[in-house]
Amino acid sequence: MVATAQVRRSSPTYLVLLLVLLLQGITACATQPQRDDWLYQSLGGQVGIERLVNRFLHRVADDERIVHYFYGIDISRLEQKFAEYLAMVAGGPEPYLGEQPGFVHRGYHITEAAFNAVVEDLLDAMAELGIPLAARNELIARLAPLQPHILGTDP
Amino acid sequence: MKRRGYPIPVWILILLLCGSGFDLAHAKGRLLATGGASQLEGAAGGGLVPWAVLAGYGTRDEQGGTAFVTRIESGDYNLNSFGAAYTFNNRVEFSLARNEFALGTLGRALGLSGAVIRQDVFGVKYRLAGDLLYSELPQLAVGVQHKRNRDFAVPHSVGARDDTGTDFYLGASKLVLAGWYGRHVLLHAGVRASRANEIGILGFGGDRNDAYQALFEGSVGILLNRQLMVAAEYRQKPENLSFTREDDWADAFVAFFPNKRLALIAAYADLGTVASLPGQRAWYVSMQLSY
Repeated sequence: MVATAQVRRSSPTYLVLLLVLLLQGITACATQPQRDDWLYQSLGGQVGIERLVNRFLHRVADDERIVHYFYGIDISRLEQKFAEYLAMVAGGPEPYLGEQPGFVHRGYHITEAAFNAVVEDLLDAMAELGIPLAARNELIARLAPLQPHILGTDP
Repeated sequence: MKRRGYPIPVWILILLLCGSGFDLAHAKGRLLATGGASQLEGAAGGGLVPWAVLAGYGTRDEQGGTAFVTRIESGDYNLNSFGAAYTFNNRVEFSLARNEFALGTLGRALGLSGAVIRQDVFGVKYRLAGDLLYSELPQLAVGVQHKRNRDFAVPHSVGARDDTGTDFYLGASKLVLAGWYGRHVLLHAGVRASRANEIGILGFGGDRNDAYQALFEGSVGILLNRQLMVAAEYRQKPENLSFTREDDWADAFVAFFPNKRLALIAAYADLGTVASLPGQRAWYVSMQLSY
């Protein structure tokens, strides 16, 4: 990318350009497909999501930053429920029958750094499985609003 | 007038830097690239514009910061900038930077070959609310940049009023996740109150205008992947001196974040007329270390 015309204080061209870009970004965000199942398909459907959760949990098990949060947890149940949850978030057909994420994590005193470590493990697992970048980003975008609930900092 | 010796905040920052060197628990709880680069005046941001993010990768439970060095060359001029920043609990950032502006072509024309104008910038940025990623609203921050021009003879001779000045800014930054064709998009907009001529290199206030002005600054960036961002920035500037026009600045940059220790930034900047020499286009390279 290369800056083009010379900047003139008197000319608002750059300002207008920037505002247009800002609006485009916001519009693109607002018009993102929401109800269809493209993300679910990109993640490989139910089978792909189960494989993703499995790879993710292997990474968590090796992650000294966060593994202690999982001591004493029924991992096979977690594996099943997390896959169900991701499938629902991704627009899959199966219902999620577990508890709300905020409730499940109550009392664990999860730090911001621990939450981000989970995000990184999930991103790494998705990359390992060759999931396209746009799908990885979209899944993170859909999970991100959970952060205050998981941390217990939501109002 | 030349000031000798570093003031106390410098020593505090140096101590913090050294302290962190021995601290194995490097602050790294935030996600890659969310600390931004180090802008010219030492705050976390792009190259020209401070963002509402705070330096380093520390979360609300961590401390950490950055050190950086930047070089800008336009052919006629060059600018070296270096400094450090330290953030407490992702809430308040203290920064320090030195700008060294070599007058180059202009210096030779004035019979001041090799002349350099130095400036120190002491910055504080406070995160008011929000989170770049996780809140619905953008991350909001206010900041102060107190600048002390250490070589005021040339600025004074061209009409600058003061050798020190303080900028105040308010900024909002947001990373719109998967916002543009599945890529994360960084949006930043801010407003700055300033009397600085060429960010303070040419002093503060002038014969044409001596009052604070509200100036817009903004950035738009796209994360091509987790490590690579391309962005463009715009920074409005005042025009206080009658001896030269002063233009708004714009640049386009690529920032590479290989890990949470290192960031490399390359930019091409359009600086317009700088101290009477028109059409200044400059290469900009910067390296930032996080700790």
